[in-house]
Amino acid sequence: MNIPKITFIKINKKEILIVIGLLILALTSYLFINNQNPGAKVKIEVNQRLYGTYDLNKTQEILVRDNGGNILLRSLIINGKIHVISSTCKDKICVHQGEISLSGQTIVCLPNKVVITIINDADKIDGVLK
Amino acid sequence: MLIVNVKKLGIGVISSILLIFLFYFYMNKNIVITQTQFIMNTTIEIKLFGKNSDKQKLEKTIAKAFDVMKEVEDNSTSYVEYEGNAASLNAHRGEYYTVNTDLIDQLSTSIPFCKLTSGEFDIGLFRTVNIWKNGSEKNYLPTRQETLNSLGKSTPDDIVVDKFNSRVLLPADMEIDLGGVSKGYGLDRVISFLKNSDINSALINAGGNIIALGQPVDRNYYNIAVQDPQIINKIIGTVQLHDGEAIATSGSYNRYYDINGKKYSHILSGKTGYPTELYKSVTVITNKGIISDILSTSLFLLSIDDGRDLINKLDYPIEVLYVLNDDTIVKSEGFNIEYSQDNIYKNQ
Repeated sequence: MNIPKITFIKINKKEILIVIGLLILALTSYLFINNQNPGAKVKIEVNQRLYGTYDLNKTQEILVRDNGGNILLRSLIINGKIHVISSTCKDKICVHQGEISLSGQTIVCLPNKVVITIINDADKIDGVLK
Repeated sequence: MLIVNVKKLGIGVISSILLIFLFYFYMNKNIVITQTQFIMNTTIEIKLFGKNSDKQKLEKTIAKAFDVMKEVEDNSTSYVEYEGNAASLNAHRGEYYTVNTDLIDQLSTSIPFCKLTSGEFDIGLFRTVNIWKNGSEKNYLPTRQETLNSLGKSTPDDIVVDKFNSRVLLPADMEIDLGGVSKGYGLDRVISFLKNSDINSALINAGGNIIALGQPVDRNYYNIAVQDPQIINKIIGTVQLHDGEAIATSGSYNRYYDINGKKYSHILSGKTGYPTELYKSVTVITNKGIISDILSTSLFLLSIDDGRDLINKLDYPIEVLYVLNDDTIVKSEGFNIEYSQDNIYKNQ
């Protein structure tokens, strides 16, 4: 009878480390791709360009500036809501609009071309009908 | 002779497989591209749903989609004259004038509603709207006589739309304002553009009008929050919007003329030129953007009974929800809404 000869490939420590390293790298990349920090966020755009994204659950003041560094408006995140405290625009519609907190809600300052949007993937709301 | 180092090959194979897997996974990841622009005096938000591999295509398409909306705005505005648009038609009233196809489409769809609502819904109110705009700027309340006089003798039924030659004859005593039509019409135009661009899933939000194409990744409907007509930061509940459905709300709460500290709704009756205060809000679901826009305005101006008669005369699937002034809700049976926990409105 012809018995197949089983050969064991000797793997040394270095090679095990390389494989484990690769696996860890793959796993972290997978997690990174698949899971980009959930939770309520505030997205601020100026002139259709992303200005910044902020945590809606962290009390903070956000100064929105133009390219020249001049302050366009001041906004405040507090108690999971954001509102505009002051703005250089004439109409002050953004200031009068008050607080927003629901996913998809926006505050728009048309003269300054600033759009503030709430993003919350957790509440599964795709749009707010005003 | 080729010598293969089995161990090195093994590590190479493992890393290649991992890389391919990661790349495949990254490209297949579902993404949503969201952009907001200010068009037609309102915030327009377009969301496109797709895969990471299509990201560039989605970004290009979204920019073009906004261009479609801007084109509709330019073609429909009564405030800036472009050749063949509403402002130019107003300037050429009393004679045949060649207009763009967007205007032809909107006029032929909306004019029948003026008669169907016994003149309550009226696209010929440009002068009346201006009386209210001036009034709110100067803090002056227009009298009923003034608004009545601004209406003129002609009705939108007297507008002659010559589809074949793309011409319109506007009565000499009338100027049109498509404020209650173009947003919804623009949504339809954007949807057909997106379909032609091979986009399968999109949600377009023009403030009080939303239209759905396809579905998001994990459900076969979009979740739409309906805002509380009194408190901006609250919602009444959520509605499931399916492929092809359009939802629109008319209310006096977010657009109004502020005169002497009192709020007057921007939705004017074509009979009196004055706002009506029958409801806090009216929300309509149907299958066309332009119809949702026209209907939410029309039903806001009609009694519930007259509204029911109007709905029965139409061939569209229509569901409606009224928030009455006494904070009760009246809705059609097929209007499915999941009320939020802190909702104060009760079903009648």
